[in-house]
Amino acid sequence: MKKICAMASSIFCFDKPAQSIKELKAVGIDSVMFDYSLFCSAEGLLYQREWVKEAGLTGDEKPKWKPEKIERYYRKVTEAFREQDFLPSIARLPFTNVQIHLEDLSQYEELNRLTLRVGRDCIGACEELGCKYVIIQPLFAGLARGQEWEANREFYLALAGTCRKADTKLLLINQCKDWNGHLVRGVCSDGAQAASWIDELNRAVGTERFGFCLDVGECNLCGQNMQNMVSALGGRVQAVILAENDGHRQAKLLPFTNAYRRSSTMDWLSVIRGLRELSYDGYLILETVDTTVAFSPLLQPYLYPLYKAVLDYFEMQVHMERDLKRFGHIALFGAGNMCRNYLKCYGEKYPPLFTCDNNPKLWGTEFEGLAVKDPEELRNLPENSGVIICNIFYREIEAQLRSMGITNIGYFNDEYMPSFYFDRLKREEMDEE
Amino acid sequence: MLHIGVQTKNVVMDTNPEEGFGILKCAGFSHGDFSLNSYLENTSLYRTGLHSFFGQSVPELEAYFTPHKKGAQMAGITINQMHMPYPIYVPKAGPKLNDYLWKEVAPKSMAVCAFFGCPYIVVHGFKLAYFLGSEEREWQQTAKFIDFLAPYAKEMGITICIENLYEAVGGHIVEGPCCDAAKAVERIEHINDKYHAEILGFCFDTGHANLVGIDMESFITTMGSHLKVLHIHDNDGISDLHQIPYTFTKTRGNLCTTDWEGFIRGLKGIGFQGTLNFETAPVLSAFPQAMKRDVLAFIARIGEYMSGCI
Repeated sequence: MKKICAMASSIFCFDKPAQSIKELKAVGIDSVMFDYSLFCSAEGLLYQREWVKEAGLTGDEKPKWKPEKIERYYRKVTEAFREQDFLPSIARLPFTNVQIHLEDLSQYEELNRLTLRVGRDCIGACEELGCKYVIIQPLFAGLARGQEWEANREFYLALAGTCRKADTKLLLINQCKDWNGHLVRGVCSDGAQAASWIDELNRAVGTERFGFCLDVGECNLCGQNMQNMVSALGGRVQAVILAENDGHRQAKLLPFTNAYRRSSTMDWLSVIRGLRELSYDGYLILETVDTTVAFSPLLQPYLYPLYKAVLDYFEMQVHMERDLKRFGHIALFGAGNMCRNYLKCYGEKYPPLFTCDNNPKLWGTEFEGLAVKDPEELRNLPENSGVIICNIFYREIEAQLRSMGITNIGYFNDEYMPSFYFDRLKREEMDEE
Repeated sequence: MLHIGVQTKNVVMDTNPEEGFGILKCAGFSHGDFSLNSYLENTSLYRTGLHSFFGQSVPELEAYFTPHKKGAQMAGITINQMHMPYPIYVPKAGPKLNDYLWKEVAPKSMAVCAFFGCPYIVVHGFKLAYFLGSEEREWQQTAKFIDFLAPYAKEMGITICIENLYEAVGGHIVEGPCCDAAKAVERIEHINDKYHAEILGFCFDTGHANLVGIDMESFITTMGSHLKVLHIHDNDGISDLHQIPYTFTKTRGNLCTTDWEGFIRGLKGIGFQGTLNFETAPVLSAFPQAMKRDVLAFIARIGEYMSGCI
C-alpha cells in the first residue's frame, strides 16, 4: 500500500517545501499527492477574464494570466522536490468548487473549456514529473441532467489523447453537488455508474487508462455507505483519499477528529470493511489540510508522526489478515472480548494453537473452546510461530514478549470487524441446523 | 388530480376518531396513512420493554379499530396505507421481545391492515449491517421477515412496502437499508416472482432521501412502477424532522435545500398514480393546537400544487 499525504495537508509553504519534506521523511512518509490547484485553476482563469472584461481594461492595464510565469514557479517547486528526492507518483489536477455559481450557460461552457485546457497542460507536466496517476474531477458545472456522461466522455477521452506515456493512469473521482447550499450526491457518486463509465472509457481507448479515486470525505457528505461504494467499483479503485468532515461541510480533517460523544461522526467501519473485502493495496492518501492549518506552524511538525501512525493504522485494519498469514502457527495473547472476536472472525481460517493471559487464575481453563495458558508457554512455540496480541495493552504486552526474546509479534484489533457478535442470530442458525 | 393523504397521528384520536377524520377531510385530504406504529412506540422498544397492545387477539383489535374504520368511512377518508410498528427486530433484545414483534405484532398488523381494507403496509427493513458485516447479509434477514409475512400478504391482498431508511454514526445520519434503488428493484422483483403476486413494493421517503443526499429523480425513475406509496416530508439535511416541504433554506439566496423539483419530475416521469401522502405529524405538535386545521389545509394545498405539477 502506498501511504502518502495530500500536498496541501502537510506542506504549508508549498513554494518552499524543503523543511516540510524533511519533516515528513523523518517520520517515514515518503511521498505526497502533488496538487496542481496550488499553481493554477480553470476557475481562477475564468474569474480573471470576467474581471478584466467588467473593468474594461486593455493593453498593459490587464493583470495577465502568464503561463510562462506559472511554469517558472511550478518548476522551482518541483525542483525542490527533486532535490529532496521526493518526487510524487500521483497528482491531482485543479478542482472547481462544486458550489460555483456563474451567471449564464456561456460562462459554464467557457469554464469547462478552460478546465480541459488546464487539464491537458497539467497532464503533460505530470508525465514530465514522472507522475503515473492523475486524479481528475469530472465536469459538472452547467451540465443538465442527462448531459453528464456525454460531456465527461468527451472530456476524459480528450485528456487521454494528450497522454504520451502508456502507463499514465487517469483517475475519475466522486464528488458532491450543491443544491442551494445542501451538498448532495453528484457526478460519479453512484459506484455502479462510475464503474460503467470507467469501463466504457477504457473500451474506447483500448487500454486500462482509466481508474478511480475514492474520496471518502465526499461520500460522507452524502451519507453514503462506502462499503457498498467500494464493492460496486471493485478493482477500479486505485487511490483512496482519507479525510474526515462533519457530514455537512467540505472540511478536510484528520480521521477520528470530528468526534461527538466519544465517537467519530464518520462511518469508518464501512470504509475499512469495503477496502478489506477488496484487499485494497493502492494509494492511501491522507488529506488533512484543515486540521494542519488550524495548528500553528510551530505545532504542525508534531502532527506528522500522528499522520504516519494514522496511515499505518488504516493499513493494519485493511490488511488485518496479513499478520496472520505471515506466520506458520499462531498463539494469541489475551483471553477476553478481543480474543472472542478474533475467534469469531478469523478463528476458523487462522486457528490459534492456544491463547495466554497474565491472569494465573485463567491458566488451564478454556475460553471459547481455546486453551488458556501461562505466557511462559510461548517460549515453546514451534518455529515460524507468531504471537498475536488480542488485548488493548498492546505496548505493555509487546514489551513483555520482547523481554522474553519473542520477536514474531502481530497486533489484532477488533474496532472495525468484518462482523460483530449477534448472539440471537447465531442461536437461530444453530436451531435451523 | 392525484389523491392527497396524510398521517393520522396527532389528528385522529382514539377517543373520537370520526372527528379526526373529519378534520382531515375538511382540510382537503381524501386519503389517510393510518399510524398503526403509534400503538407501539419505538422508543419503548429500544428500551427493550414489551407492550401489551398487540397482545390482544385479532377480533379484539378489530373491535378496537371499528370506530376508526367507521369514522374514516363517515368522513369520506380512504385508508390507503399504514405503517407497521417498528423496529420489528431489536438486535440486542432477547427472544421474548423479538418473538413478540415477529409472531404477534407483524401478523396482527397485517390483519388490522386488511380490516381497514388498506392495500399497502409500510415496513422498516432490519438494521443489522453493523453486526452482520454487509448490507447484503442485512437484506437476507429482512427477506426472511418478508417471506414470513408473504402468505398473509398474498391471502389478504396487501402489498408490503419497504422504505429507504437511515442509520446514525456518532450522531451523523448515513444511508441505511433500502437506499439503493437498483438493488431494491431487483429484490422486489425476485420476491414477487417467487410468490406470483405483488407481495412487495416500495415506499419512497423524501425526508430520509434528503438526509443522505439521494438524487430523488434518479431514485424514483429507477423504482418505476414498484413505487407504491410515499412519505413526503422535509428537513434541514441534518435531522429527520418531518416538516412541511419547501421550508428549509441554507444560503442567503433563500432557496429550498430539498430537490422538490426532482421529486416532482421523477413522479411525473414514471406516471405515478398513487397518493401524495405527507408524513408530517410532527408539524402538528410544533404549531399551536389552534392552528392545526390551518396547517393541515396548507399541507393539503402543497399536495394539490404538486399534483398539478405532476
